[in-house]
Amino acid sequence: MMRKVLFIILIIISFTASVLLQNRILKKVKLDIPYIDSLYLPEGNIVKPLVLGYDMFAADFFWLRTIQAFGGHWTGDRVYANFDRMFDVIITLDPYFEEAYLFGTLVLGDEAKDKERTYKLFNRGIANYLDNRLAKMKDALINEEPMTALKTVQKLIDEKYLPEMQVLDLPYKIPYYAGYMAYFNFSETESALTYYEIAVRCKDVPDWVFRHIPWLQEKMGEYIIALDKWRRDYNQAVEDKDELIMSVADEKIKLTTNNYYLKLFRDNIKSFKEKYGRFPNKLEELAEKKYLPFIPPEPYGTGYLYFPKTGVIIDKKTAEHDIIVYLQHIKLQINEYYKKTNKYPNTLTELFGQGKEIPEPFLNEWIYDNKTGKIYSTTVPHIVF
Amino acid sequence: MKVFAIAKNTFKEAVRNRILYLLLIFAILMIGSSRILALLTISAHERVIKDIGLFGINFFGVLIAILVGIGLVYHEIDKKTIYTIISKPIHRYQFILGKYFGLLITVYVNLIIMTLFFFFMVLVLGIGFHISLLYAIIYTATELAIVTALAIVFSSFSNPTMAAIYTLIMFIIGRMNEDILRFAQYLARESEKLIQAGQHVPPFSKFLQGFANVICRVLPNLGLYNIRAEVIHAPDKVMISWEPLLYAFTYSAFLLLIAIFIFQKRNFK
Amino acid sequence: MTVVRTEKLTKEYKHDFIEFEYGRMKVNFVPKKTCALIDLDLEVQQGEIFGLLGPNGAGKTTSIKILMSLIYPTKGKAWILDKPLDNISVKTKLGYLPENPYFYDYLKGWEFLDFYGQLYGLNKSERLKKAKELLKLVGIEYAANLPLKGYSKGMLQRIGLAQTLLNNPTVVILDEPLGGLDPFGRKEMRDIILSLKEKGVTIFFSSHILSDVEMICDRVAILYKGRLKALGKLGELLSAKINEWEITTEGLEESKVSDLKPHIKKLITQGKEIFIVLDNPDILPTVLDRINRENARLISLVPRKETLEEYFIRTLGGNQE
Repeated sequence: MMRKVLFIILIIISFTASVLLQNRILKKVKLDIPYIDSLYLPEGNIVKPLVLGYDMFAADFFWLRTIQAFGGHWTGDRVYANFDRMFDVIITLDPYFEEAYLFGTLVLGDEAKDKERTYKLFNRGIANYLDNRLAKMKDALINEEPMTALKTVQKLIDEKYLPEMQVLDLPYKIPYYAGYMAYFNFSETESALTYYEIAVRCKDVPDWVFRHIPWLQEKMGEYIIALDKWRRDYNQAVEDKDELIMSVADEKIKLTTNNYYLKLFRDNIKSFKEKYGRFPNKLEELAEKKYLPFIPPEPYGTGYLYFPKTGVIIDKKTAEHDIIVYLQHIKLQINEYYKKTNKYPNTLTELFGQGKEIPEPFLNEWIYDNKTGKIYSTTVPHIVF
Repeated sequence: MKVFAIAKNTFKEAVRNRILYLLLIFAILMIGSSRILALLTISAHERVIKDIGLFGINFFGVLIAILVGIGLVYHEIDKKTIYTIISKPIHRYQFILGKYFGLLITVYVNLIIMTLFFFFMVLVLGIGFHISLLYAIIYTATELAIVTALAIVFSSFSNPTMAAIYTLIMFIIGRMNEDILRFAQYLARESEKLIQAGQHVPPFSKFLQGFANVICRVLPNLGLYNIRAEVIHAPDKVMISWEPLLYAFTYSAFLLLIAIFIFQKRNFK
Repeated sequence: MTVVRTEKLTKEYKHDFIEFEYGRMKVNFVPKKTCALIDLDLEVQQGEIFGLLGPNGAGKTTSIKILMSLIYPTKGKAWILDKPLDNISVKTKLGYLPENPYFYDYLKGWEFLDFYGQLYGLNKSERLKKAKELLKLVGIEYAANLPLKGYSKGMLQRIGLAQTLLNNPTVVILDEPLGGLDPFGRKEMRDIILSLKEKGVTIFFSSHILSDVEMICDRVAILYKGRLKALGKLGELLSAKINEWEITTEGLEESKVSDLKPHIKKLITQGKEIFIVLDNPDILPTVLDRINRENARLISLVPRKETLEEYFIRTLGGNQE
């Protein structure tokens, strides 16, 4: 009887001790490796045979991980390292994974410095589907730097190397999204055009893609189509209650619209100047003189800032944002000067040196008060540093 | 008939294997959790649930076939239950066939359970049933016929551990069959390039090419039965063609004949 | 007619190229082999009870396994009911019980017999009828619904015998059928074997238990180290010489025979009875005479001939079971 009791007591003691120890250990461990940054994946071509035919499941698995990692970075540092590798794996496993492409454009197309990687991703995706009849094109896409590769491919297209329409066994969405991103995110029309040329040669390409080419060639957008797409995403997100996609799509809509409007304005202001020899006195004049049917509303709701003397147009939100960045920098220099000499510089030229002044980005002026050290721009005079 | 008697008995014996229930529970859990996993994604819910379901059914089907099958013939010989069977008026080949069909029935019963649960999930979650899902499962069932035959072959001459390893290796090669073919074609292209450049093709490369070509025709091609991608992206185009089904039949017959041959020659010490 | 016939039946086992002996690795450049059975020639006639005897490793189980096509002979041939061994139809008339039988232990008693009945090709009603009948015959009908897992060794042996008899065999082959049974079990088994003989069934069995063999066998074959050493009727093999006399008397006082003690092998007094063993038959008349003179009662007088054990020791030189 004593034996049994002793045995049970020993079990309880050893178990409790283990649990408490583990508790102590866990408190010290900093588990802050939530993102896929720490996950090293081999290339898609290597992963594919390794999953032994369970491609779709593996694609979903990596997809879920990507979403989670994205969520973490979206609310955090907005730096998406290694995502290109993730996307490479996902689209190699399932080339028709639409959501992955959409997401790729959202995630990778945003940061300028990811441009290379994003293009590389799409080039690889396209190359995966080319057989040896298009070896030159495939080689270029895989081996050359992305921008060079696109130039090579464009040359091949011009030389009639590529077959006629709708024969490539490539899912049209890959080059289509690539072109879309090239134009809307990076404003690289030529690359976009090359991608669209590839897209229209895909077997499954829908009709409306064909309209993109002459549009791009005119450097005018089928605005409706692009924005339609973003609106569709937004509405779908509302239905799915995907707050993440909703906010992202919303931002994208505004950004795209803004970019488009500004481009529209700038092109038309240029045409106006060429015809009338002067800039329009106000934006409404563009509508009066029938360059535009009407003046579109500013998408962020802050209104446009137009300077008739210089013909510069910018929306207030971007203007404020950009000016603040400049002012911060300049103010820093002013304060440094003050610390050293215990007084403010007389002029900005004195502060920076002759010929090294920082120009006002919207062709307007910095107003500087050397008694108080305050500075503001005539573009947005209410922001004073 | 006698093959059926052995098959029925094998089924009864297999059903007592605890591993079976473990695997079945895991499969059900996995399919059930697909709903939760789908919440983690954005706008791809339907796809995730279908993918997990089809994956689970196939993967656990293969595991069951291998884990339950490898011990079947071996244990009979090891435990000497086979003495009183072979001494009856029954051919040895009838015994092997009985074992095979018994195992196949076990695997298919589990397949049906998992499938019913999967379809239930699909209906309840509002995804809606589509015939392509059923086609995918029929193809999986066909693939399992070959895997089961593999398990029986290896079980007829080696102990369960080695039989499991051999069967697994064959399964992996079977799934990689198309990649081996691609490798052979890649070698062919490289050789072409060398020849056109007026250079000499190394004999090792020629050997590898020939070897790869032979391997992918001789060893089972299990990639044939993978239509899971089409089910997600182009379900209306999914159909079952007779060639893969016939291939499974002939290849399984081939494997079973090998098993029968090996088994016929054995001395039951 | 000859029911079982073998001709120069031989079984050799080849050693592996590399093998381990006492933890040391040996390489057999010259192929080594072990001979389990060498040139066995024997015949079993219809209706007889034939015993296969010999020490462990003599080749008894090997011979039986060859006959049942569980093992293939290296050399030689054999026939059962005049058909070669690979003839399946012969097996319908055959019954076989292996040594230390192993069965599917999750099957219930009747399910077990039902399964084997299917292998014989019997239809459902026949199977169930036979199952009932045989369970009764071997005396375990009370365990019909019990899974074999719960059977004792004796019960397993009995149900094993039952499965042997499922198809009314004409030849029954048993490997150590009496092993592990208690005396009652052994008697029942012997009785069943004898009753089978009465029905005309030929029985071929191997055994260690020599006394049982002596009791029921018509002819025996004796194997030693794979070779046949003797074959024939027991009576012919064993010496006819009477080795000992066993006398049981009552009412004789020990002191009255004490002078004969040097010639008496054994003398045991139990209460009123005295048990005497004589190994010298010449003394017999003297002892009987003494008993008479003392007015003692002669209860029994038993001559003992050579037993199989003594035969083994005599012929095989000290290698007994």
